[in-house]
Amino acid sequence: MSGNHREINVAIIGNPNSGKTTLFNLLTGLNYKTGNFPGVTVDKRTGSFIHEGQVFKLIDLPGTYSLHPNSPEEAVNLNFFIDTSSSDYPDLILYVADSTALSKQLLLFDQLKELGIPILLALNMTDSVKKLGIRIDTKALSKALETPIVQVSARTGEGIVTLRKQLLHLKAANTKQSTFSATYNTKDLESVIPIISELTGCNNDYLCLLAAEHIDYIHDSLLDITSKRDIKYRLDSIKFQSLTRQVDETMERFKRIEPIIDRYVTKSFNRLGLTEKMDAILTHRVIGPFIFLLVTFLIFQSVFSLATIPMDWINNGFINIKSYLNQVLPDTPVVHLFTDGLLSGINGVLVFVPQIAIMFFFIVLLEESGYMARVVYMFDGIMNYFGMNGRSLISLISSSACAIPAIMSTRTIKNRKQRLITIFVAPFMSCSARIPVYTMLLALLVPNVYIWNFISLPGLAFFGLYIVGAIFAFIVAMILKFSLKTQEKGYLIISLPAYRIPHWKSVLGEVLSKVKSFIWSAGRIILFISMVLWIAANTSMPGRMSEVERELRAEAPSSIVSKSDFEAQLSSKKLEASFAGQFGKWIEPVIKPLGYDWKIGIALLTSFAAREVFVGTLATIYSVNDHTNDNLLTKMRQARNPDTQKPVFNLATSLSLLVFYILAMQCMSTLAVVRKETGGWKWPVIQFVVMTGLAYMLSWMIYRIFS
Amino acid sequence: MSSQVANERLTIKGYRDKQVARKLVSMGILPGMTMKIVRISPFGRSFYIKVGNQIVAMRTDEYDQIVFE
Repeated sequence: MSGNHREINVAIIGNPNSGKTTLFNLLTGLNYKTGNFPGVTVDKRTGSFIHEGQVFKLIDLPGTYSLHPNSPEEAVNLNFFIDTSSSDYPDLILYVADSTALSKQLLLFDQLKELGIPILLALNMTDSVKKLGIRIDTKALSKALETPIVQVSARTGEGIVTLRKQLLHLKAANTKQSTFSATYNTKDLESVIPIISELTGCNNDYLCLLAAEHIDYIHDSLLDITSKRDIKYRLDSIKFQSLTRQVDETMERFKRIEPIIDRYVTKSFNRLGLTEKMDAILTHRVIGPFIFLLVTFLIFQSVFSLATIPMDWINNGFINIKSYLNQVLPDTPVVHLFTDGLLSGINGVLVFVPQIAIMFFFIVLLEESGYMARVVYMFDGIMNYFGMNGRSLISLISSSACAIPAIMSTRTIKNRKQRLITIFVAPFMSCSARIPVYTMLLALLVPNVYIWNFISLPGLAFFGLYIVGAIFAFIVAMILKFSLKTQEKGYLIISLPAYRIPHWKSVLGEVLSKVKSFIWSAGRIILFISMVLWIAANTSMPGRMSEVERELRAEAPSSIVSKSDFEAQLSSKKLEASFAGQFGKWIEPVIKPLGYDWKIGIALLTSFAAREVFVGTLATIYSVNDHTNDNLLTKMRQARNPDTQKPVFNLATSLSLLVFYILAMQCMSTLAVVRKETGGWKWPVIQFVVMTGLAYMLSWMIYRIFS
Repeated sequence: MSSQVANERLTIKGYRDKQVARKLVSMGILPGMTMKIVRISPFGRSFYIKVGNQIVAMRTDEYDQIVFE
């Protein structure tokens, strides 16, 4: 006995759709950390709870059907149990199974029993069991499976107290888990198992056997490449048949489990009845996709209409705080760095939160209700044609709000190549940060008239821009499909679970975790870039700024020009003299072929913090003193090229800018998230080069055609 | 062609492709079980299948890897 001072590690594990994560959230009360399992981007959540003074540490393992992995992501579990030296190595296993589908959920349980770690079997969804008229003789089942059983409902919280008690009992009893008679045979592996055991430190024959069967999935830190090659050679020499073994073993286990379940679980009627009836409509060949379109449309409407209210609160709140602080604090550069630089940066991060939260709310709702699996089934064919899968469709759609949650949501795509393609093309979808830019440029280009009295022409053009972005997403996806090499073959094969009503606590928990992850991963970058750009736009060589002010005063004495006009002209001149302004001029030769001048160059630079900053930057550089769009548009229309005296924002330049904003990769936070999700700088760099290169080429072509 | 066997109950005998086999076996879709295609997806590339007391979706080419009695 280790006493009550040490944490008890509990691995929580089960099949997909077993309600494992809901139970994890409930037990830890949303008090958890998110990390990654080594080598794969699978969320690793660890949380804790205290029962009678004993601290339990819960490790949420990915949901799989079997310990035999089918992908690197599924191999997380096998590697986890092999690595006995890990600080997370479990003292107990909490196995979660859906009581309404028990017979198929106990394969993994049966395998885990071989490990010698005490197991508590949590029969989840007890509330549904009663409704469905399923009767489970838990006492007899517990005896037959030689495992303590606790009935819980992660949705309602029923049985949680008992579960905690049982975990403590299980640890206190400290009994070694008795196993069934071995279903595997290791005789032919006598030469291999000791080697694997010695190298990995794993002393369980069954795990060593699994490691031998799936040697390529074993993490390099447990078994180095040379040892793997040596073991593979030995396996080949004894003509080791890993697939046959897996099939035999699995069938034998099912043969043992199913009669037990049949005996102690009685069902009065078919639980899938309602689900099948709903699917007859929801997955119908013709009606199904239309229902999905409707669902998408409704989600979009909610995201954009609901989010505007909290977004206004956030923006107005920050305006008030800034103006208050500017009044009470002294007028020094450091204060301005804080109020205009740092606070604006934080504002820029928080303003995205409402949309991201609402978007994720719907995605989680679709996922937990079981509808997402149907979307995957319906659209797999067409998405597969573009190298993606059904889930990618959801990611691309959410990318129209913001690419960051979209890229984060690709974690549910199991195939690496499909996931990479989805991540790569998601930013082509026009996100909400592009809206202010589109609005302004379209106002320059398209007269505000209605066709047939009800379709607004700018509105139609707006829709067109979204379509152009989407078309490019699919074209690039198609190119990637043929150019990316992979050994991994993509599979659809998914289980379509029975529909269920998601529990609000669990949905909220998921949304909260995504928002936290956004603020932490993207927020820091946005904040940092905002600060750097603020400094670049407000500083110059020592003394240069006051020189600018003196020159302007000499040129236009304050008696002639109104104070606000003077202030506006001063900030315009200061921006021109700043490092950002110098950058604009320095980059002018590069962007001249696209029809842009140095002023647009500055705006392009500041867009890297967030695209919508484009509008604000132009307002400053065209010395607009009241930041209204009308005033800015007038100034932009009046702007003349000093050499040719032609308007700067002519048809060709405006179109070229539009194309640039549709296609270019200008969002540093997206790049940061891509780096995090792909595990290196390679993909964000390629993405930046491809997207911006494409934008440059096409903007240039458009400019040439229309000028 | 696999798409012509819709609405017929077939008994699984074995599998052709190794990976498909591993995947199906893990999900408890085993030889001896009966399988029925309920419907075809909107773009015609995958099946909605009832097998035992579960519903699964798979591509037509994955379905073709299953050997029936």
